[in-house]
Amino acid sequence: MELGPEAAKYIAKSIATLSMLGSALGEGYLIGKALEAVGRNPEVSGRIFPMMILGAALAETSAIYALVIALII
Amino acid sequence: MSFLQINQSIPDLKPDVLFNIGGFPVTNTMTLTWLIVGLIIVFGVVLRKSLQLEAKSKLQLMMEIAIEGMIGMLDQITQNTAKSKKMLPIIGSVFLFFILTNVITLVPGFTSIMHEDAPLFRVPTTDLNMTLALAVMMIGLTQIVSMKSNGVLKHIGEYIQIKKVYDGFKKSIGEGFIAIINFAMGFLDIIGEFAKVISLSLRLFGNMFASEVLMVVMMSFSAFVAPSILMAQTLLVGLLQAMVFSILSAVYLNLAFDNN
Repeated sequence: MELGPEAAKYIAKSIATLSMLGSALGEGYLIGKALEAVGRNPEVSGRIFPMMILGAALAETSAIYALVIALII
Repeated sequence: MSFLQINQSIPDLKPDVLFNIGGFPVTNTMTLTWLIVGLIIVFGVVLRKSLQLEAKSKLQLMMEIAIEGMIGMLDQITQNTAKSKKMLPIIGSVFLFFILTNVITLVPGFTSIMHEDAPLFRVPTTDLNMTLALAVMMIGLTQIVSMKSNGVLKHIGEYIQIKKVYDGFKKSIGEGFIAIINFAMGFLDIIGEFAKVISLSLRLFGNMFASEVLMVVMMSFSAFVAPSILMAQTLLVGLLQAMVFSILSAVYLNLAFDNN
């Protein structure tokens, strides 16, 4: 069995999207820690929540890069 | 192929050229950009005319609440109300512009007006040129602000630290070598500025383009009910990314102010 260039393209796409794993791990860790902080100190939840959203959007960045690369390939 | 599915082609990375003005191509993302800019300007002029000291109109009250919210958000970054009021015009208008561009895709039929077999309007943030231009503008602004608050020579000295190496060797050999390491780090900071531009622009572009592609994929899967979930997500992501872009540029601007 031989692989054409089209098959190599799809393999490259799948490898590029693998890097989303790190982003998912980071986001889970971040939100878990934020919830922990709110649980320990519920009064500051109003200040932690926007920071958590911002951090989640930043942690998502690498996944977005992977997506853009996968779309371009 | 059933009536439940709508097959569209996945949107191209580059926008379609509608026509040329003196050799300058006008794309369908540009038309929508200028339409939104025009809308904001008209809105501003109309609101400016009807301003009252004691707000009676609902529009004025709404905008006052929005601007106070923005100042509150900037205060969390700058910890200084005078500084955040100074930043508000640029950060606030970028924020408003991105909210409008990201949400306008949800207006039904808006992006399906055709002009010579290409859509007349396309969401500006799904074009990398547009987000890259705004990111370059914001980072360029931070450089100018930093030059203004520190002086041009000191600002360039932050990146090419020749003076610090000289001072370090004058004190002792050990400090001189630390200064040489810092000298190399200064060049990394130059790369860091370019990385800021790339990450700011690609984040916004990637999110909005991905939601567009996902919508096409979802439409070919089922044209009813399922895309509405994605549309709600697009609304959330659009607002969030507009906020992230403006908050990050506020953080960079704040750092540029703080250098002295």
